[in-house]
Amino acid sequence: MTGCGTAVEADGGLFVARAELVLARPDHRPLRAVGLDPDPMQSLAAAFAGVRSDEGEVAELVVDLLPVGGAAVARRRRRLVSRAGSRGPSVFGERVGGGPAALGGLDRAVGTLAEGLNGGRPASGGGPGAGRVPRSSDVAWEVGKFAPTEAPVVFACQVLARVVAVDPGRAGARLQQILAVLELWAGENWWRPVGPRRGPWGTYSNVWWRRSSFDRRIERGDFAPAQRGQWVTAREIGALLKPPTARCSAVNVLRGGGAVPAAPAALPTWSGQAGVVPLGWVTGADGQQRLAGLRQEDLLFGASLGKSGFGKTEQALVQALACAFVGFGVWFLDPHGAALERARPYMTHPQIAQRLWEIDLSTPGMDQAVACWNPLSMEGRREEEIQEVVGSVVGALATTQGWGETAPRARTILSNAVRTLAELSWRLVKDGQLDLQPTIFQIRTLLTNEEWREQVLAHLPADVTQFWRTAFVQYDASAVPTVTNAIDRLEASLSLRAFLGWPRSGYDVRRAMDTSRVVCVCPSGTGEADDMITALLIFDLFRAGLSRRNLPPEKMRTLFAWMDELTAIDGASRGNVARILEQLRKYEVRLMAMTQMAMRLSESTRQALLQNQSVLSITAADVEEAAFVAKRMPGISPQTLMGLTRYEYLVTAMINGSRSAPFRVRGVPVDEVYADYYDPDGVEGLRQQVDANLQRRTVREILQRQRTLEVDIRDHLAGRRRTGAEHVEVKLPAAGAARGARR
Amino acid sequence: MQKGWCRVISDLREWPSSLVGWVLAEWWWLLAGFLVVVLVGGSVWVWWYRRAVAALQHRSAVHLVPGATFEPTVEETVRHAAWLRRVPAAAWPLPRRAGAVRTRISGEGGVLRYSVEGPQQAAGVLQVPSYSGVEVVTDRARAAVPRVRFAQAPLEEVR
Repeated sequence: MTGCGTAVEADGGLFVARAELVLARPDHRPLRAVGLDPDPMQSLAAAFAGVRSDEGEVAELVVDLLPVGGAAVARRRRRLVSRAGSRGPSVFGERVGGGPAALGGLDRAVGTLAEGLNGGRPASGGGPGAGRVPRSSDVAWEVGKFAPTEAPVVFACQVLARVVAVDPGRAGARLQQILAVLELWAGENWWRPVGPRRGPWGTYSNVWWRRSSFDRRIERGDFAPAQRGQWVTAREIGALLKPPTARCSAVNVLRGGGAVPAAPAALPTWSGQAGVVPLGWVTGADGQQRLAGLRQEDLLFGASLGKSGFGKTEQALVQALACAFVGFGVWFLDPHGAALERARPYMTHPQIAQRLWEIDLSTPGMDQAVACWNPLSMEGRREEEIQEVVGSVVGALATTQGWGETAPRARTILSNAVRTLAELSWRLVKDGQLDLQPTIFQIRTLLTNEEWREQVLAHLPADVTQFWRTAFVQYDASAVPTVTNAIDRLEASLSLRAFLGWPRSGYDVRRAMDTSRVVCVCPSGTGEADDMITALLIFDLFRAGLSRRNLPPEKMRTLFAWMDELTAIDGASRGNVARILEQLRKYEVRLMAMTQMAMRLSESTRQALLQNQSVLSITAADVEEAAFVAKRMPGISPQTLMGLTRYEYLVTAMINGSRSAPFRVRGVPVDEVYADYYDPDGVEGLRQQVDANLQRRTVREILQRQRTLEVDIRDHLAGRRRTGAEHVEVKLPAAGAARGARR
Repeated sequence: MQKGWCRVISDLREWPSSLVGWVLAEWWWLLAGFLVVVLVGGSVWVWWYRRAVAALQHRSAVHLVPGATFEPTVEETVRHAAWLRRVPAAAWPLPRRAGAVRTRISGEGGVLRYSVEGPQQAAGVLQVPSYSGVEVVTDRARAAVPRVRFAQAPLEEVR
């Protein structure tokens, strides 16, 4: 290390400039109390603006403070008072009056002036030795900043400034800039750099005999100022005891969104125990970080908002996997399928694998096994449940199509078609013909193929057939396409033909609820019918939840449902998400919804979500969304929300029945927290397990079944009639009349 | 009475010569005592210094990150200073050398950062925000994410 001047060369081609600052005058003389407006940090920020950390440059001002006890301050004060006493009357610290004529003419002149101010009396009153007694103003002057009226908060201090730069001139200049900032404190007292101002060995603390001590103190933190006993008060250095304020207009200041309360102590720590749904890292009031979660009973509905790519889905995956591992039912709607892909290697454990259902509706290969869902299936259902099937399918298709109250004919036709097929299905199941149950695609056949319809109706009771033979024939022909268009849209998608085309259901959300299955649904990739199938699935979830109303509460197993990209789903859901949020709490269906912008949700969904949420989580958001959410987070400014970083959330939740203040949560990645369950080699085995769980069929097999299904049904019914397995009165004349009427 | 005082004064007159005589007679005891005091004092100082150095190896730091609307009053800065007084007290007993609380204003990458450091034992005091509108960010390395295991899903089942 060599050098002279302001900076000396250090390792790595860098130059270091050092300065230690001490009080230039006795420390009871105060520094100038620098105000807070404008903030002196602004000048420091300007000095630091050019620091290139990537090249190893550093610039820092360090103020070390060691509190001085009240007793020590009192002793110092007594000493100063005593000195004032021995000095006698003084003006601005200089002795006047009857003391020794230390100042000659000046002393006498000031004494005369003091007498004049006292109306001709001696400066310190009359009496023997009056010239030696100090006035209270003399004592106050001598005691200076340690006067008891101030009740000062006193510190012993050590001030160090260091600049490291690639260029010696720049290092020196920047150090001088820092020293210039400290000139703001120059008043009765001021900061003075220790060490020579010039000389062959450098300046200030760069001289060789000060350098090592300086470096040790600044790097290690030793408190060993070059000048002992230099005390400062909090009021003097208050402007250095706070971070840059709003009055610091410099832009190169690290700013955050403001303070966020610490996580509540009542928040349980999560370590994988049942009954707690993880949130992520939180920091308590004691500064300790821990993985925290919410009690299952506190978590009814959740809303997770914020920018894309900031970890909402990852947090949901951690929660969903935790619920799945401890045995809860899980229903995860992931429109893009990315979450399922990420989660798959963590679900190979038998605890999940044996309960896993995957509904992946991305375009399948012909020999790929896919899950099947027949909403009309009556397998395992009682005859009286036909009305529920009708309600769910009609409700789903009607809401998907946005019929509402505007298409009563279409609704009526669809209701009767579904009822008819459900009745047929129930009879086929009764006959043991599970593979002949009509699917949703037979609705179109029923409506458009008269011959097939008549063959089917011939086996159904009169109350079912009555509609077709009386009301239906009177409808205008244009009413039918309204219904068949919806079916055609579904049929246009290969993945939906496969998903909805098999007579038996592998997927049954009510069964999933009651047996705590882990269901992953990825409806994306079906083209135009994305919205429809999403709506069908969500409505089915809603219906299945409601259908548990007859179960005693102790028998209801909790199902946690997650819906990612709620904005994309919301339009299709036609209010069903809101219904779930409003009605399914009693039936142990708990919905967590993720969306980038709550403001883009439909009015009903947004209101239901925000009204009923028991946990509201937000990551970084744009200004309008931040302002919208900040209203629901007391004490949090929109700026705080806008400044959140990736995987960082603000959460407010119900804890033990009361709403918590917002607290900060840092997300944990799936690959770290579930590292022990990571098993990429088990994914193939998992597929086979899911095939078995859902009785998945290949697409080719399903399409083949669909091609012959109507013929097979007809043939079976014809054979049934011949064998007389079950007789249903067929009123052929009425059927003939109906045909005649339509013609 | 007067006779007694005279004797004391005469004794005092003889005292310097008797002291010198005593020192000369007992010089090696005095030297031994002096060495003991130096050795004991030096050892205590070294022990105390090493204790300070050991304490300095474990310091706690927090960044104070102000919000855009942070605007304290002078009284608030004084209260913050009063708060900082608790830092050495929380770390007691520590050598004076290691007990200070450090305010570091640094420019990293051209951006001004404000941090407060203190003894590890006082971390709890440092981490409590004493300013409203200022976020306290701990400087400690993020704790490693624990690998969670579920009692309902024992890993032995798959290994």
